[in-house]
Amino acid sequence: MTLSSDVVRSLRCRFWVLTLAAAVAGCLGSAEVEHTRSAPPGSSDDPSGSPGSPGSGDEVTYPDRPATEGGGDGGTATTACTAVPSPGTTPMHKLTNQEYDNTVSALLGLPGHHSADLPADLTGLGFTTSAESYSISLRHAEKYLEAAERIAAATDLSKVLPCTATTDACAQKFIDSFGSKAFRRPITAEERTRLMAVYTAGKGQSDFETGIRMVIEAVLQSADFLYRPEFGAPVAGAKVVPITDYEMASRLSYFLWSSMPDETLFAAAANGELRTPDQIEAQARRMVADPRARKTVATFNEQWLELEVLDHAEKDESHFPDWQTIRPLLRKETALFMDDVFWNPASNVASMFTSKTSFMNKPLADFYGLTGPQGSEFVKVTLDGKQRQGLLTQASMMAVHASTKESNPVLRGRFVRQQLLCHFLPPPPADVAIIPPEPDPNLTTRERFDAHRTDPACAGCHSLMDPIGFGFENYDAVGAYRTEENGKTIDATGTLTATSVDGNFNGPVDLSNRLAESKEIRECATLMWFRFLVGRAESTEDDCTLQHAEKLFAESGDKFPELLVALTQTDAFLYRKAVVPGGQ
Amino acid sequence: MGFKPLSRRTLLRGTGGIAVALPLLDAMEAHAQSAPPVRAVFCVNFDGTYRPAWIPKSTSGTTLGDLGTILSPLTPWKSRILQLDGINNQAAVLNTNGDGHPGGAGSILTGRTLQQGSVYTGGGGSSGWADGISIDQHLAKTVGKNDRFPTLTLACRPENVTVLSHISYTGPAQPVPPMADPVEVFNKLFTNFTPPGSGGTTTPPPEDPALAALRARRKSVLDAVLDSMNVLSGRVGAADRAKIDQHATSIRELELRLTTPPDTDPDTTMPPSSTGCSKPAKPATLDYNSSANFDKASAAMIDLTVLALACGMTRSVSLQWARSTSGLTFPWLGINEGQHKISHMSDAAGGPLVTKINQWFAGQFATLIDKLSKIQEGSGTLLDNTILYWGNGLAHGANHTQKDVPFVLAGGGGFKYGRYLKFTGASHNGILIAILNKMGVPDTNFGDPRASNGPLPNLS
Repeated sequence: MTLSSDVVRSLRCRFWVLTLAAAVAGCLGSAEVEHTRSAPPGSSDDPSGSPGSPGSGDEVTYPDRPATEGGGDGGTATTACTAVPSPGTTPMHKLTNQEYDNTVSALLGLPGHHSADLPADLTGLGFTTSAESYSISLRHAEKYLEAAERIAAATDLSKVLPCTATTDACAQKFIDSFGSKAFRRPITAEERTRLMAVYTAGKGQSDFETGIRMVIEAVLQSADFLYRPEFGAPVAGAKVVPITDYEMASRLSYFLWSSMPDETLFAAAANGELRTPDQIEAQARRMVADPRARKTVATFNEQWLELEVLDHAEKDESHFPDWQTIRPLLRKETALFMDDVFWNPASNVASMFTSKTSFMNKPLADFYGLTGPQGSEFVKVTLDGKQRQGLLTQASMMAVHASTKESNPVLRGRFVRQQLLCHFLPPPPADVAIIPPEPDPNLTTRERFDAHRTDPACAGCHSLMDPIGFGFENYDAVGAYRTEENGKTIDATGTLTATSVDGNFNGPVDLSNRLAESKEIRECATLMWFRFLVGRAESTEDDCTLQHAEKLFAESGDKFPELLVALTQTDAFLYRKAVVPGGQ
Repeated sequence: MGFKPLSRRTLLRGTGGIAVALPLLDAMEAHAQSAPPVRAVFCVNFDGTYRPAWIPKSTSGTTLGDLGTILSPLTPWKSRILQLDGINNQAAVLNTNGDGHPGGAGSILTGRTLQQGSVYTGGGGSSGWADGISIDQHLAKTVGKNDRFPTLTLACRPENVTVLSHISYTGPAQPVPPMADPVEVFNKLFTNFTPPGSGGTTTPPPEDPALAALRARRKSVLDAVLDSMNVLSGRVGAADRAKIDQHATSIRELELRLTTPPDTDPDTTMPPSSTGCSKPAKPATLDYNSSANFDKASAAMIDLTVLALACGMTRSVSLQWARSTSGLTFPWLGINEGQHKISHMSDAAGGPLVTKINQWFAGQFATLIDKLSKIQEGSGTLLDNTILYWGNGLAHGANHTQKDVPFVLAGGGGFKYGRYLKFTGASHNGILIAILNKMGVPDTNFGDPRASNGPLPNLS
């Protein structure tokens, strides 16, 4: 049984393509999945004719289109690109808590966890950068107020004031410089007036210093500080417009550093040097090489791999008495591993699955039954490539996707299918009993779960998950290696379907090697970074962006840092739809 | 130049009392009231019940006889509970975005389906947030709008798993993050709080000039903030505008609360009960994300709920126990398997465990009833004037069904208790509407129009 290739292809457009009928039919129940593609609002398919379709015959030109470059390789990588860019929709981003911390730190020279009391960021598609998920409640507003007051009070004004006299003229100068920096673009006359009124009220109430601190409080709660509004450079008649210089500075800095632009970016924006793809690429390369990018990458990896779940994962401590001690070590191992895979010049996307390097301290090595590390410090270790190799053999991954006592092939298969292959899985049908087989001292987990294959109500979707999950049966509920379960030999054979590397495999290392060769993992890494970047789900409008990024990524030899640079060269990064106030 | 950071002391004085100290706009009206207002507490747990152990063992007509095993901790309060069987969470039945887990969490207090979207992508399928306001927030905007806290949104170990972790909404796609740390709730309720004197003095003491200055300062700042929101709102597209306008609404509410001179006796809107309002000891600091502390967190939240009601601080509280599909274990019950996993066992294996878990939640509900009953209010007790609602994000865990969801009402407020009523697929929106009506909100519909058909009959 194989998944229709049309379905796989359509997975990119998962939120627009899969109809209810298809979902009800089950994952594989129907070879003909209906392709009733809903056009996203504002697309050129949209009969309402809202922004997104090309300008109507005027002289708007868009240089440096991917489709017009080279083009001689005969590949299909950028066939979706047309003369008019297709940036998709661009929802307004709110600063994530991490971005808020970093921005305050850069703006006022005040490092710290300033957002500690703010409600945790809400995620969409697993990412805190989601623009769909956030909503500012009264509690948020209250916490932003408290944080702004704390930050303003903690600021050393002598470091941020551009002048020494306690005069209104100095206050005005401060508002101009501080406001422009905080709003990441030159301050408007209206904003000057507004903030001068705050200063004047504070001075009248108390003194100059109070007025200045109140300006800081107002700025830190302002819409143009907490959000990243974008309007693009106005081009008469165009429905797709280039991003302005200052908007581009912020796009680069928040994407790569989770923070505000630095002086170099501001200078480039002021000089009009953030316009061509080459200029933007040069900045991106400079920024990717900066340590600040490393933290952004770490955040992305944690969210992509759902590592935070580990903090809530409970285990039966009568079976796993060391769980509380080991749990944070598992998370750290994977974080260090992914950091190495991402930044090591010898690594590429395949290394996620094939690397024989990991990082452990002595307690963790003891847990794995390895020797080498001696203290509490994490050190690099080399694995044998038999029991352990790459991300999917790490205990963090195995423990998160398991129950408190037993392994769980379904959860493990789901993780690979959804997070690493970016395939869509519909929900189970309502009102059908979902009862995984209970532990049986005479059966292995695999034997228990085999029922999914025979029950037609389950088989459709579970055939996408379980045969992958069975490949991890060598790992128990906390990820410890085993060769037997309930006195029976572990069978870790499995089958990959609906991928470019379909076929049978034997065990987690074989599966990992197979996945490392797949085109899906490359497309999925690109797609996940795209979602993290734009803060929304992909749609058909994003085909050019995704194909172009995939092409550049492949040309780099699948180097992760190059994927970040590649994404800055896409329609989604260079352009946006023209804004119609109050419109779609 | 001397602009060094302010001292911590100065700072603390500024922020410690933020507590959204409340305007008491209808103080006069309140004093004129003779009867205490009706309050409500909305309790929700997740992943279903085991119905054979939930239904009563015996009834006489509609009168409750012996309670089932799950509700047995409520036996002393049998005359004060109203067990509602055969209720559907109809909005969740109608929901097509995501399965019953997100659908149930999103609808249990809103009576609404989920929006299409990609916020939730966990267990197959995808969804956005719930498509409308929840009852606790609706009360906050209506009868509770001048209360010290229009509503309190509390939870024990909700985690932060988007739709699965939120039950309270101020509007479509506007989830309210619950407060999950008892210490944070304590600070919010009781920082700078002076328990009411026994003499019933009505003359507030003169206001601290420093607080008056702080209020003036915040007003200037928030005026500018609000202005920035309004200007941006006028420039952006519709979707972004909705986000900004929601933020602006929150700023306006904050400004109203912060800048109206507070009455130093916070209780003129709703006089505190004659007994029971006192500043408690600060709850112990604990890792409230740990299953091992869940029972302690629940106990602390129940105490804080009772005090908030007794002190007249609010008339609406939501209390969320865990979240849908959680891995919560119950080590104090000897249950070391996760709640979601247990809910997907066969009835033979999982039924006893689901029974034990829900019985424990019934015990929590009973504790809440008991504590409210011990507080005198007028000629009766606080319980007489409080409606307690207890629902579940699912009816039965293994099949994700939203039909025959277990609901219990308890307390007072005008319902006729001591009964077991069996409906046939009535929508739970009818319960929400009936509660609104008892609390002085005359709405005839609430939530998704397809699931809303007036108040559930026969409750009074």
